[in-house]
Amino acid sequence: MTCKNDEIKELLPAYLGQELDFAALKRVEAHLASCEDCRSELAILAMLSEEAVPDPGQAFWMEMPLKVRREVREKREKRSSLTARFLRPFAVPRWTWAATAAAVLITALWLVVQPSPVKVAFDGSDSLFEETGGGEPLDLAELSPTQLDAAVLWAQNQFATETDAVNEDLLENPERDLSDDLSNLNGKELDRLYEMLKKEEQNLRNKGRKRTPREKEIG
Amino acid sequence: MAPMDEDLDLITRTAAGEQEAFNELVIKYQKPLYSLLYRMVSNHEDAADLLQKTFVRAFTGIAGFERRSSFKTWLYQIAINLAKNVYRDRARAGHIPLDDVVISRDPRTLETLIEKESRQQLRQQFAGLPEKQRLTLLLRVQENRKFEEIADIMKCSLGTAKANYHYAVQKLKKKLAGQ
Repeated sequence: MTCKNDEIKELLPAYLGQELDFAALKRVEAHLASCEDCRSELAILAMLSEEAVPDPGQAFWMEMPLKVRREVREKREKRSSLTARFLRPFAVPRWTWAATAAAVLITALWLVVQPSPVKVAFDGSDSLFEETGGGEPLDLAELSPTQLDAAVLWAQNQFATETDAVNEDLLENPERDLSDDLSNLNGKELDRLYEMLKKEEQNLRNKGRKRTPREKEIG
Repeated sequence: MAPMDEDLDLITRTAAGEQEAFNELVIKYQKPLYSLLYRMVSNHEDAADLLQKTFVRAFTGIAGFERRSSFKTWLYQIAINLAKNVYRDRARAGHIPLDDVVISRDPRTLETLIEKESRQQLRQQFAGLPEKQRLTLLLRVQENRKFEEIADIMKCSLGTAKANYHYAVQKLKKKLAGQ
């Protein structure tokens, strides 16, 4: 007959492992004395628990940390060489990643705050840059949130490819801090970044001059 | 220091590149993990290979250890998942090896033979249990894990862990009684 005493059944492994307190031990023993079903269950559990696990020997245990360490190192090396191979087609000097990331925001601010023929359109449309005959220097405080958003959006579009590459690089190295990269730039690299930004501004000025009246209308 | 805090300290030191802490973690857990794996796969080669893989996976993915459960529970989860794959591959190939095939070559007394035979039948029936039931029974009876710990390791509720244990035992009893 199948016993329905779940409380005792749950205690059987602990009884086998001699983990019960005195009161529980007595309760289980009293039940076992009169329950054949639980006795056969205990016999099965005892057989299972007695299944021996052979000891592979001292040398095996001593070698394990070394083996694990070696494999962890190999895996890390393999992973970094794969990453390097993946990034090779885009290989550029390390500082360029930082420069392009920084350029996205810096360019937006540069174009807004510098005295320049390129000025922000205040007509409320999405268009940001228009040809002017010598605009006044703009202050960030003068810009509405929409205009500031439009400036950032423009800069993001200009550097979309570079931004994607930077994001990819950050996904590969989540612990990477771009401010560290920036602080690693030497004077020459900073000069180059500055030149890049100046060139971009010049391009925009030229672009602004070449725009047709129709383009201006559209914005 | 409490065992869990001790592990967290060792993990932090391992992450900082301290070799001694890394060794200490391996030495601390290699025996219980090997025992669990051996009971799951029934041979030394696979158990040894899985043990190494368990540690490698743990140490390469240590950043993924969320510290919500103990490091030991996390290691058990990795080991069980790796061993499940081996077990499933074997089941797919229709080959679930059972050791102890020495009976015919080593006949002793009739009593020993009968006992060995019933042990072999038990192993056979145990190996044929559904995966979750077999693992729960193994953890509870052979590894002496409490139901709360089993629920953590198997990522299920306490009630499910108890039910899996109960069904496993009932099945074994029925099958062995029918033979």
